[in-house]
Amino acid sequence: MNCPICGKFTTRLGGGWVHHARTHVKEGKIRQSICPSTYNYVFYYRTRRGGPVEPWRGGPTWEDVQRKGKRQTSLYKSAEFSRRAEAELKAEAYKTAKLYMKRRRIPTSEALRLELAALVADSEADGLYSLASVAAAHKARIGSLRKVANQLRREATIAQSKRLVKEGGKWK
Amino acid sequence: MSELHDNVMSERILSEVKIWARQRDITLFPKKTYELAALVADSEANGASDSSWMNKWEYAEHIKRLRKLREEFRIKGQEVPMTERER
Repeated sequence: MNCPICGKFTTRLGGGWVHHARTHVKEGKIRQSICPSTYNYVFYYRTRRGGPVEPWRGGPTWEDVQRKGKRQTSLYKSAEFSRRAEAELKAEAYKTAKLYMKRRRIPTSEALRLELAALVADSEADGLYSLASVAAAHKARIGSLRKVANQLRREATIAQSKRLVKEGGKWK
Repeated sequence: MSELHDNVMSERILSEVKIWARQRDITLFPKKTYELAALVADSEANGASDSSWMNKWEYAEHIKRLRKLREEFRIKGQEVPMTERER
């Protein structure tokens, strides 16, 4: 199938049209695709010149991208895919919060770091949600971010109660 | 209009951070409040830039505004002196 924009060869991916990696890919472009039928699955990837498509933030792997047709759509609906995406989102939120406080030399406890990571995940979800017209297309990602935020908050409560039992006192 | 929008957004982010801290019984001094507000603005901008509508005018403006706010919060955070209690 040819690309509707440039007329070159494309690969069908999750209902959207993606330029074939080996025919014409501009280096370092971040691309995103959405399933037009369900509007539920958003995936990201970064392109690389002449090479395979590089996965981008919870996006599909090159092997995933190579699989075509209906199996592709079901892959993004699979529990395994969302688990993988959530784990990446969680790690990223935690890293952001940790680095932020470290750079500014603000002392934090593990519980507070987890709480901050939850705040980061929630804020990212708010950012995605900010334009009501596009919120529907990002439902899955917003959902994942909220879920991750709640998980992190739960972990923070556990960490905090452990600290309270050990040392006593307030949040640091 | 743009300035008004900026002020509304800035107030919203600051109050979000304050509520967040109050709910958790965390003592937030002004310096830390601004730093956290900058973190929130930055994260919101990152979330918004994930959108495939990134090139759309409103989105680009929205992200730009959030990045600007982040810088403002950071500057304010640096300007505010530390309190005795904070030290």
